[in-house]
Amino acid sequence: MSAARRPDPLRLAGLILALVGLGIAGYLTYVHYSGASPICEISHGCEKVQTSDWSKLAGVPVALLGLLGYAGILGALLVPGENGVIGAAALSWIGFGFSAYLTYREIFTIEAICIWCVASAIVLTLLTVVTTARLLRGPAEASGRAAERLPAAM
Amino acid sequence: MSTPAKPTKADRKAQAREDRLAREREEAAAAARKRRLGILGGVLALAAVVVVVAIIISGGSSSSTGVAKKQPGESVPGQKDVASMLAGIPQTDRTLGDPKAPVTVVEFADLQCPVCKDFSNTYFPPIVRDFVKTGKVKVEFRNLTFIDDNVGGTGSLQAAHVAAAAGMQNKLWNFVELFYKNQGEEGSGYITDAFMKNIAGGVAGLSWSQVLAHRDDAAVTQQLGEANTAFSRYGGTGTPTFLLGTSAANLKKFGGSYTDLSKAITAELQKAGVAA
Repeated sequence: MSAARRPDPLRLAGLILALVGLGIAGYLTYVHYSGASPICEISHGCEKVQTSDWSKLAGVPVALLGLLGYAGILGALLVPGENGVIGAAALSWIGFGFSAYLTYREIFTIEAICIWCVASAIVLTLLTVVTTARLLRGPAEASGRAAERLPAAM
Repeated sequence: MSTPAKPTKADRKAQAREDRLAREREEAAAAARKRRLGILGGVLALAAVVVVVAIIISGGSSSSTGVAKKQPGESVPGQKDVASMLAGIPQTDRTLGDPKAPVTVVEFADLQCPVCKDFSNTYFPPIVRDFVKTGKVKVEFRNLTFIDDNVGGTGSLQAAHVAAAAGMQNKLWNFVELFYKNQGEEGSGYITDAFMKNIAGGVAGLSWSQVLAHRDDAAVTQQLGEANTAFSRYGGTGTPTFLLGTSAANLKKFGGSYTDLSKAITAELQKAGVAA
């Protein structure tokens, strides 16, 4: 009798975080294109950040880039095997690095805090931890199978 | 008492096989660890390159002073944003918006004032979009020059004269908003004719020669004097200061922060029976 296959907790955590990030970035993208004011209680910080020089990268709204980034991470987490693990970690590190830079700009250049951007930065930090741990651990199912296969190969 | 049985040749062979398997497993695990660390190094290097490129693209052409970046096709930084914000909105002299709009907002500002710039860049565009473009609100500009008294020089006065002359061509708001996009440091002497000519050059339909011809008209001097008088009458102490009301007769000074002007306009519209 074979034991029921349990989901990989790191992959599951990554999927949940990517979905949360997708929701945040999706909301900020909607706000950008609809022209609505973001729901934000800290001195209109989001509006200030969203209309600042740093809200676009080469003319593309940063919120849209975030949405695409989270979609990419989600997609990579759904891809089985090593390519998916590497892709998710690479995209998370890119997102984390750029998010850290934008947080620096928020505090020291724009002098405003957007709670949605802070939430996204936290999600990206956690995603980076989870996807890096998954990369260093190696595929859980594969290592189990390798241990079973080795004696039989003799 | 019995002595332990001497391992047989088969036992020794099995033990050697176990040891070899254990060693192979350890070597395989070490090789896998090394490989994964190598992959992580590659991932970090790739991420670093992408992030540095993104930082260069996003920050390379913008200064930390907050002056707008020049976009492709612009002769003056910010001109496209200003033109887009004000497109299709009627302007008459100092008034932006439908003259019959149910709510009037009067703004007292000094073109050298950095807080006015913050209001203009961050809080004014949503007000224009939600209330002025929709015909619910008109905004009247009242130019002050008190920063000259505080920091020395005549920059505010010169800019106010040019803005008023731009108003004669119904382009005051385009000039003022583009000026804020390119505002320099208070009292630094950056406000020269060359600077303002350049700003005027970024406003479609604004004739600089006509500005020069009319900026010292008596009507301009009178307009600036009236703005100062009104500012004192309403108890203004700094810029930007706003008056709100449903008619010129019932204008009241807005006592809150300029960041909350939008909410005050919504309340005023509700008083006027207009859905915000």
